Amino acid sequence: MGGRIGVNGRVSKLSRIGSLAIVAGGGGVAEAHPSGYRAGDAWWQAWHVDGLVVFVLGLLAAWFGTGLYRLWRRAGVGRGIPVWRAAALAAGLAAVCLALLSPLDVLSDDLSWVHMTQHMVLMAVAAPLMVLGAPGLAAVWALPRRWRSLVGDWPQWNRVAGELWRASWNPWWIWLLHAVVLWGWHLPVLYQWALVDPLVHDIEHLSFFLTACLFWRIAIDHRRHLRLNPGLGVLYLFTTSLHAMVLGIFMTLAPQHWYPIYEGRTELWNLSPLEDQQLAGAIMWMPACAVYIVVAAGLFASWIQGLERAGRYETVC
Amino acid sequence: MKDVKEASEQLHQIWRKPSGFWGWFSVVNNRLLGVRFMVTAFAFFLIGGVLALLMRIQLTVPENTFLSPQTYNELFTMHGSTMMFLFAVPMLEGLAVYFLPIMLGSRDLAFPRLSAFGYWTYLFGGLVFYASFFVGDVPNAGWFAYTPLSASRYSGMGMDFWALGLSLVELSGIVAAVEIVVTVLKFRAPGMTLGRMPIFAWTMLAVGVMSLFAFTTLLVATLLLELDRTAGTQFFNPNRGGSNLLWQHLFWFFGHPEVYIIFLPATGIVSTIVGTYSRRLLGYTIITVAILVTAFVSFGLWAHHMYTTGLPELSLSFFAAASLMIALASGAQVFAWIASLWGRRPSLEPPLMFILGFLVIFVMGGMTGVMIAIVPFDWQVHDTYFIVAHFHYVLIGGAVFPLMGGLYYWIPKITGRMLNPLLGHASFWAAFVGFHATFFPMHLMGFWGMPRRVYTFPESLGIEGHNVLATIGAFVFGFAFLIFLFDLLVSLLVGERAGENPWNGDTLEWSISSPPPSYMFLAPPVVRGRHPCWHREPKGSEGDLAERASEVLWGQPTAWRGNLITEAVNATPQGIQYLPGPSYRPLLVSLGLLIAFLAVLTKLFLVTLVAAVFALGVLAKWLWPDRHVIAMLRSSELGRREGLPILVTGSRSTVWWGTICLLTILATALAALTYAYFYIRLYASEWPQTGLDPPALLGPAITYGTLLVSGAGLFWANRAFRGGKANAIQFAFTLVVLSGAAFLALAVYGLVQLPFSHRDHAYGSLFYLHSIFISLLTLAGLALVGSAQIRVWSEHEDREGSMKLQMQVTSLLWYFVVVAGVCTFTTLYLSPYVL
Repeated sequence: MGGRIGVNGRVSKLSRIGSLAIVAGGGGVAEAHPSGYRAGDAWWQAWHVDGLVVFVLGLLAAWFGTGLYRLWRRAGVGRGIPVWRAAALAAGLAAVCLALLSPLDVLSDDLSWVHMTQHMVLMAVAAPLMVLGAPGLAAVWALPRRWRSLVGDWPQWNRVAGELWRASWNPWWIWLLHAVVLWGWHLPVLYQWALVDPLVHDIEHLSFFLTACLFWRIAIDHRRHLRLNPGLGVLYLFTTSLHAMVLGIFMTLAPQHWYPIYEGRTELWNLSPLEDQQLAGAIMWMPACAVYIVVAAGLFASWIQGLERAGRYETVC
Repeated sequence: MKDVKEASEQLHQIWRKPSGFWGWFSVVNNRLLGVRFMVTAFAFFLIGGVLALLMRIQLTVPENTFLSPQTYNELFTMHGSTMMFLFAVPMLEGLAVYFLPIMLGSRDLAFPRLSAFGYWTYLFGGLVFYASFFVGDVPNAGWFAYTPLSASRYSGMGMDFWALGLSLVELSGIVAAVEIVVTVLKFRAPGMTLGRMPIFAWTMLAVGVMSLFAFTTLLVATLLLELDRTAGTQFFNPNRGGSNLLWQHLFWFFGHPEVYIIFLPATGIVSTIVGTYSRRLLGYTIITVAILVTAFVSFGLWAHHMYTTGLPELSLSFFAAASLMIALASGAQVFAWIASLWGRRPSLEPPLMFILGFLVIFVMGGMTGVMIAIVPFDWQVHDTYFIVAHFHYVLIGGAVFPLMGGLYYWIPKITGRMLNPLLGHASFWAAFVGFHATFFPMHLMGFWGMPRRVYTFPESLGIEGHNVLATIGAFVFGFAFLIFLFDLLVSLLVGERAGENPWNGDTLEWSISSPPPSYMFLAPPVVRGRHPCWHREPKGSEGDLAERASEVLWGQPTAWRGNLITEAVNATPQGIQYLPGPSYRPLLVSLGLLIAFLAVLTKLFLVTLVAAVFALGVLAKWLWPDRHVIAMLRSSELGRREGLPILVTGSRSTVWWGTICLLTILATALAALTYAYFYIRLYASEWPQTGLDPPALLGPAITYGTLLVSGAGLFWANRAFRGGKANAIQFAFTLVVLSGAAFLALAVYGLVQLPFSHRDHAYGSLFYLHSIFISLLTLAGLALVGSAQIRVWSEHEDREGSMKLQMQVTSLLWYFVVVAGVCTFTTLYLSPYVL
């Protein structure tokens, strides 16, 4: 692909995808920017149609769609997977699209607060929506009939699979994994590496998204017997929001900016790199943590209502 | 079958308070301790009120000389500290200590001796605060004690009294939090699922969990402050790389939740009284969710006390928006109460009057709260009397009025006698009118520029009239509480007898006599709905476990104090808990602490050491499992047929839950220390400070590696314990102890070898503090592991009961020590290389 070379030597995304970015005015005298975005461009038109992402997301959509179609044709619409869960699944996929294909992705090379928003959409919007959508169930139904139980019972294939399955439901390990991934990618070394190397950047996004899915699954999965007791789930979300908040606070209050790579990029938006980082920190501190609160509140409300009715005496913990 | 009289007599014999003068010091019954908490807190309330009246006298006329500026500073510091730390929190704790068990249908709190310990530390802490008056060096840096004003350069010994007294009070708060959380989760009546629990208990549960985080952070902050003042560390000294704002962060991380720690139980009282008077409580789920959201959000908002400290401008609008989230949650509760009362004809008795007063005042205070959540407005009125007016509306409206309502509501239960409604109304109106006369003009004074915390004001401001009104109002307001005390006295002497349920309340405390018998419930009541006193739900089937458990404990046990343990969520009976009787140990431990702290004040560090060792020795004796008790419990037949064990283990046991709370406290302390480290790191231009090299890795890696080895050893010990292999257990335990001791030796050696001291710079202070913290944790852990090893070695009992529990608790703690070691290693040794 004969793209323009950005200031830091990487092929900018916008030029990789050719003509999709419509350069308004056509003057094009502005200095080439790492994101390929130029002053005067209409930012909402700066879409990044990455072939791989489109392919993977399309495949997933088709897969889940097939599963849903087969399930509902057999059991009736809304059976097995309620309509709202299917809608959540679709919304989750749409949120991933929003994060990875929209101007959020293009501008995240210039502005750390946009990058932060992108990560927030991946981890705190797309991931919980996907988990609510019961993707595993839909995926299994898309398979030919005789494969379903075989694939669905993968934890019983061998010991390693079983151990993996159990580890993926261990709240301690998943809590820690989520925390390490969240904090780790904000170390200046890793964060900036992701900005210069598209492969590392993809790994960053993938690891954010997948660990977030594992994280939310523990708290709000549709299989009640597998997920954490909602009372503990609230604490699990609370402690995570606390440490995420501390990271946001450090970003907001830091006297120097952490990622020199943004120098010279943020000014186009009338923000100094430090201000840009403060904005990013505040986004992490408040809107992102608000998601945990809202989810915790919803989880809690449904739990309490169930407990009032509970005449059953069963031991939970 | 025994008859009721005989059964209650037998129960009373075992539950009654110890007799005689000295017996008074060994009481552990929750009702007696609850009353002590409330009486002590009310006494401090009156003292704090007198301090406020003195200040009002000073401010009646411009340029008054009634108080010197110095005295004025001391008075507002002591007034604020007293009301926040010595009145509001302990008063609500006292109410919880008294009423939580009764409301939940249990016979006592989960850890009776711990409640006594909480009371003594609270009392001693309060006395330390006020001892400063005798020394003539009273704390004067304000109730939030901002550094550098509270540092030793700018304030005298008074702040030592403040910091040490506060530490004792915090300890009491943390202890009460553990008590409350475990009681609410494990001591509920059978069938009282979390969804049927009274709202008051919900608020106390939320407050308990919040206190574990908030009070621990404050304890760490005051410890750092006291270290700066006495040991020469540099945490808050910017000249040596410390940070003044670090104090504000740590303080407000406690201070903002603190507001809700006071306010949430008050809303619990409101929900209770509104529910009783309107014969319904609408929106149970909404109210519990609002409690949860308030508790959750309150931890994210501490920075909104710091708008004027130079927070980035871009972030301010976020805070403003987030602050409004609390308003949403509070608003939902207010609407639930209004809706419950709507269309009903509640009789306007004093308890309800105070609640209605609360609604009016709190909504007004909430409005000004929304105003100052708007940043430009806050800049304008910050540190003026507008703020004084706002937080008195919120705190008095939000806590004192509901509390007074609660006292009028519950005192008949405590004393068995009704209060006089006429005097009650008089007290309410004096309080309501006096309150508004005092604090409403302060809004205007603030607008016109009267700054808070200044001992006088110039005539040119033109607000003499307002100040005179405020002073008169303050006296009227104070008079209201004298009326209340008079009412109480009259009622104790000649009050009409209160029956079981004078208000027709719905919660379990109204199902027993007033005052309640020493054992409270003859048998655990079976609960099948949210309003056990209003609806007699149909009885369950005969085979129902809840019914059977209630029958087993009817009039039982009579040889020891026992209570039913239920499962944390669904309140299914799980076992019978032994509760200890009267004991002097709580008093002795807190006396030891008090002497240790006083010795710090007088710089007699040897005495501190001796007293601390004494306190630890008594504590060890306290915690050591009593062989006779265990033998007695093992031979008991009670509940055996019904499958209700007495020596329970794991998450069935209250001890296990108490340990989880303890680990939460320790983890919070570690997190606060780590926060301090990275906060100071964030602002340092070079790290480590003063051009030091980052610490070498190899030696510390070996040191901290020994902790990992000990963790593996404990894992092995547990396996051997389950397998019953006696020799392997001893080998594994020895490995744990040796590697733990090796860690201690290496860590201390590492500290001795350091090229800097804790006085040189904040980095040095942090380095020493973190190292010492993990070393002390290890030492405590080793003591536990060692005692577990001795017990396994010396006793050849079956390994199912209390020995198994001890293994579980020891393992939890030691694994925590290992994890804390990994965190400390990452912070101190790895982070300088990657950041």
